[in-house]
Amino acid sequence: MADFIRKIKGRGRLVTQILFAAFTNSYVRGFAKGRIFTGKTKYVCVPGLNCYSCPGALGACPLGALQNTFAARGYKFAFYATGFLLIIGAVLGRVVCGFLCPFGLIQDLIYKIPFVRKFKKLPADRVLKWLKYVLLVLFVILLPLFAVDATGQGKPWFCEYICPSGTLTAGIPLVLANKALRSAIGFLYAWKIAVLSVIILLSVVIYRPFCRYICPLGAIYGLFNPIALYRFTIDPDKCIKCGECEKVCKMNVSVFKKPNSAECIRCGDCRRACPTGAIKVQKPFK
Amino acid sequence: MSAKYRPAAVLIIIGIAFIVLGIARNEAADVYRKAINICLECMGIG
Amino acid sequence: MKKLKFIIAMTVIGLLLSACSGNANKPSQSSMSEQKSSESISSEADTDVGNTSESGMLSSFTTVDIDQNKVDSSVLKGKKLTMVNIWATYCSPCINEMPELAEISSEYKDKDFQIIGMPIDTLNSDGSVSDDQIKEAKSVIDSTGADYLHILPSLDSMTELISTISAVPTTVFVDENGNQIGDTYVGAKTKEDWESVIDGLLKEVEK
Repeated sequence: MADFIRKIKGRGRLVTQILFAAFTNSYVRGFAKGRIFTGKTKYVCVPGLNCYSCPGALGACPLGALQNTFAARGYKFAFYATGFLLIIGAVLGRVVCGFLCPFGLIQDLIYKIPFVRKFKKLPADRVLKWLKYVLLVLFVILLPLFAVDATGQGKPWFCEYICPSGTLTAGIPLVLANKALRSAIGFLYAWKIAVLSVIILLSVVIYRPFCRYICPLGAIYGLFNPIALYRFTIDPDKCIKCGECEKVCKMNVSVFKKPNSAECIRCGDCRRACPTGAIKVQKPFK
Repeated sequence: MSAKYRPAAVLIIIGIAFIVLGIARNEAADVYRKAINICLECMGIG
Repeated sequence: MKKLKFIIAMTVIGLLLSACSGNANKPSQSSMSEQKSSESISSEADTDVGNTSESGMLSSFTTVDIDQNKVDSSVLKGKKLTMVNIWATYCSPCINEMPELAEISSEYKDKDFQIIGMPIDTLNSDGSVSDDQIKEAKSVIDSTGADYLHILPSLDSMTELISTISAVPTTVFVDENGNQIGDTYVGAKTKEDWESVIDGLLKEVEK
């Protein structure tokens, strides 16, 4: 029975991901007509990397909101978007990545595609892990703030040059459905498709390469992991240091040593694998 | 609530304050305006 | 009547920012259900000034320019081809192409051609003119040297044009009578690309 419950709980994450992604992108008419939703819910940032130019999107992307506020003339700090990130981060940390981000879901699904060999990490993993922080500082904050045109207007650099989520959920559907947009694509579009393709291909052999090495949003939420309301503890009386958690962890975290690593996306595989049940979710109210 | 949650609580309160401040500074209206426009740049059309 | 006008304004703002694949009237109906407004709007829109089925996109409009001077469709007479470049103050690609548009505007001064700019983010959500946004638009115009005529969108008399706009920059070409010529161009272009488009269209209108 416990086994069965564990199996259901194991599926719970996928179900949550699918339901949440569907719910927050339910403007189906947008896909058919090649337009985007313009309702008031777009004042609100969703937690995950969900491009607001996606025809289905009902909310705003927190990363896009950050960049666009920095890029606009007259703003030196993005209070509104940062406020969202602080609240979501402090409550959930990278639970967002594991449960609420559509692009995370897509990578999860792609990884399920069978392949001759799956890799635990890329060769330069140790260095690449820091890339997402560099991209955060450079492409999300500094470039939008300071690389401005003659009128003082900046650009959303990460959205424009890198974000594969935007290309997949917005760039492709809109270009397919909207004739005028179709005639406007050029080199930049080709570049974004190339970036997306590389990430999709990598996602077959490595688990969530984008989340690990590139996503600035994951970088932000990861910083909250050690202090978020949702966090893991290791019960020292139960942990036998067998290393099963580390073996099972698809993000390469040594869970019994670092239960709240910034790399952990809270999928819970380790908790299910632990033979003694030593990994627990810390209860905030006791 | 244990003291371990103080940093999270502080951040949540700051977060709420920031959101209010951001609305007052018209940032929310700007986010909305950008979010209901097709962002050509975001899609790689620019 | 005032309430109806408000509803029309809200819808058109919504249309302003939602795409359509060239079908002018349909989006206004579907956008209606999003806004939960009455369904008689589209027929109201038809009887609005300047939006009868036989008139073109900009056949009869009234609006103001960026300095609040009255402008109407007579501004199209005298030039066989008018390029209407729709832009916004927050749109980098729009701003980046404006200096080149200014160059084209002066180089083609003696030809049967003119450029009119239209900054669409100059209105408040209720359709009234936003002074802050006007100031921003003027500052962008100054910095880019885009010294051609800029007019504000008119929610009443430009519904067809506005419903075509899904993103900025969007550029359309009209003849002296306000009928659209050629395609709707989304996205910025280089000076050379624009010049070949303009030259091609000029050949058509001057036949």
